[in-house]
Amino acid sequence: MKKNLLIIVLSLFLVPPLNNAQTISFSEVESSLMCTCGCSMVLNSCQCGTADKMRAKIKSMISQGKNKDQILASYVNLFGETVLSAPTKEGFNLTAWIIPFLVIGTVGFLLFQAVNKWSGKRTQQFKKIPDDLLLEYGTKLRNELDNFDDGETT
Amino acid sequence: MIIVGQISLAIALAMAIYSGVASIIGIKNRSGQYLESGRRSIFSAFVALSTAMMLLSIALITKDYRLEYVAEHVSNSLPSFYAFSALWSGQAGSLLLWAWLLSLFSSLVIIQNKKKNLELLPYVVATLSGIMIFFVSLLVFVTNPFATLGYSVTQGSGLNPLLQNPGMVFHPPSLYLGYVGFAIPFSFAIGALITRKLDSQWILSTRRWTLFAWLFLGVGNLIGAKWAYVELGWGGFWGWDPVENASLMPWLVGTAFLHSVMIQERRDMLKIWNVTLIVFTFILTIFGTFVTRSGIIASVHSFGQSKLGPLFLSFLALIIFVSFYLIYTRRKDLKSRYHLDSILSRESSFLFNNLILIGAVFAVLWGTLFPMISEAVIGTKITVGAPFFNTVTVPIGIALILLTGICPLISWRKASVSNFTKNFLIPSAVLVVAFIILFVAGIRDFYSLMAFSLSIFVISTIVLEFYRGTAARMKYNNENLFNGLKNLVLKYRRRYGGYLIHIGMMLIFIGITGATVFKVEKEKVLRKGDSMAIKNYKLTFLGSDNFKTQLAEKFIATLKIEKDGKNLGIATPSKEYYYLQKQTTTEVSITSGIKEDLYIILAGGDNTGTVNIKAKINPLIGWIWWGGYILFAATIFTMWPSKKKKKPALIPGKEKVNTKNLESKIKVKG
Repeated sequence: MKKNLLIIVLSLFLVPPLNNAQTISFSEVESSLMCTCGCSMVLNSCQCGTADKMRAKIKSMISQGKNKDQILASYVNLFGETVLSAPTKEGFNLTAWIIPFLVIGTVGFLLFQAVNKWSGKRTQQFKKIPDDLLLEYGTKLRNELDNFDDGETT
Repeated sequence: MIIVGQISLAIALAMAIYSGVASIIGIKNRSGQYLESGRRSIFSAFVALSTAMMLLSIALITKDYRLEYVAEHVSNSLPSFYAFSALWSGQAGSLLLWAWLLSLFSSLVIIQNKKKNLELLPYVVATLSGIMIFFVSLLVFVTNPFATLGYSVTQGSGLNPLLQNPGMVFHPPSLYLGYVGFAIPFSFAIGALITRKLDSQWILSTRRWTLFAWLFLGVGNLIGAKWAYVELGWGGFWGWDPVENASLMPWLVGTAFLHSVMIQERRDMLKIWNVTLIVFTFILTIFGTFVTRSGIIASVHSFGQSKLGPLFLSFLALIIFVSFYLIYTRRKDLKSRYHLDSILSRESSFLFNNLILIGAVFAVLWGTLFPMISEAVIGTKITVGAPFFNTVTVPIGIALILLTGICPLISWRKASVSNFTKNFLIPSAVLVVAFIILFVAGIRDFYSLMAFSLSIFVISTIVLEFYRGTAARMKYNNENLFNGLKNLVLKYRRRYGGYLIHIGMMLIFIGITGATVFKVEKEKVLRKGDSMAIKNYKLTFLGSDNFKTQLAEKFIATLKIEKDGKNLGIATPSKEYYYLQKQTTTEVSITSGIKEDLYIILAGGDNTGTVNIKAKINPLIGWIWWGGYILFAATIFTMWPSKKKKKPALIPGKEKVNTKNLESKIKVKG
């Protein structure tokens, strides 16, 4: 049984993934560069003449056997780092990628701690209530809920 | 007409100033007369601004080139429909629209609150007047739409060809309805802070205004996305441009606000958080206008950069200072008497939902401002484009989808294990099955798998909620399936309308994932009779045509589309050269379906009979628009007032009940 399950699970990985491998290198380069006409658009979304020329140049560089990094480096040499459509993942630019997750993670952790602390306080308060009183309130609440048939719950 | 327009603006400014001053004097001296005249002058400002709007519209439609604004935005051959829409295509016109909507909404608020919120209203009117003074002052002193050209012309510069699209007629007004709409809950929040009436009344009084603003800001963004998809010719729908980001951010904070106010309404908690959220939402609406108009951040939307930047920045600083001063000085009144009972409760799940939404806003704001930050720190203006935002926001979006499924199913205060299991067993099973099916179907991208299967999880939780509610009504009220479902939804409009909005959002998420991750693209140079294949589509180039219209010269390629050998018709993508603007645009051909769109772009061509065709398959993109329709309809349904039931007297013949007697009755019963 376990063997069959293993075969089924492994066979799942044989299904070919859905992707668009045929144009991947060009579109990757195209989406990594900004159009240099000054339109502030990523190259893959710009339809101007400058963008057409850039695309033709990239295709020619790909046909010459240059890889993505080499093509991007040639554009950075010409136009500076501004030509890249996203910050590099090194030096000061790394903060662009890290800070959002760092902030969300830190605030999330603090929020989790705070909610735990608040709910802990409540639990302690509940513990102080004598059992007979809890039973009385519980019965009252049950009766009220039984009679309750109106009102929004969200 | 020009003089009347200028005088109207001057009167509107005088009325706005008077309204603010009269309201403040009325509050100080407890004078009803001053308060009443303050309110009435808002109506006068509305009349004056309506006159200005009408006159500018007439000037645009009749092409009165004496006005600088008209000469810059319309031309003789521009159809009246687009000539009218030029009202918000330029800076002065769009600011006039802002001010006019504000005066309209302020007037409606005054009418709505004729007999209620009497203590808050003077402060609300004063706040709205303050905002109005700023915008009308800009119109009078800085960018007057009735400024004259000074010389005579017989032809205008014309409207940007990209804006000559029906989507662009509705996109800016929809965004402005949202931006300006948020001024109402903001003003009530300021009123509540000043008067220290910080219970849930201000929230309840402005709930529909908040939903209205949220709806139109969201719809405005979706119309903008559709316009970009149809008009810009690159096959995408969201470019993460700073101006797009500026309209997304207040919508996200508004979403957080709409969720967290439920905790204040039910549990009297999170008062300080809610008031801060609405202040932030309004600040971000002003920030959006600042980004669009200042040109401080490079943007494709910078149709008109100007000297307005510093003025908006000063106004922004004033709002931040006043709002946070009030929040700080009222912090004791804003303190909640209650705390959360458990980490496993709806309250805490809403808090984490807020964290994710605000986290998304922070990520977008950080990315938008990073070019300025990097320039200040390392001296280089680093570009932050779509690849950054797509990478950073995807995991945040997935966390948001997960919480959208979890939040509505957890009990208030504290969820028990049995309750949790009961609510989540079936949806969790659906999630696992969906994940496996999608994996077997060939989807390997982790984020796509998660986005699709979690969206299905959310939809299953909602379907289950409808099923449970309907089944309960069928059982206890002896209703049939149709009546049970109908009465359930109509009775609990807010709750089930909210669920329908979530379904709309899930369709949007599915569409975004499909269109972003699984798009296929192919480009080929074709001669007459040549074909190209993309997936199971075949495109055959039948020929090209070149002709001139009043506005532009058009070069059109005609292609026959076949799918699996079946004829789907003819596509006619084109390139258009607009004479006046000396600008070329790309008109794409889109064949839409539920599963995917075939998107054909004429990337180039010449008179030798050769064309360069770029074809794209955008899977599931139509789901974004359908999700938008559902979101729109469901929000209207949620906002729609319920029929007020006449409450029966608790004791026959007596409307008012002595609560002491009631308490004693309950005691006897208990």
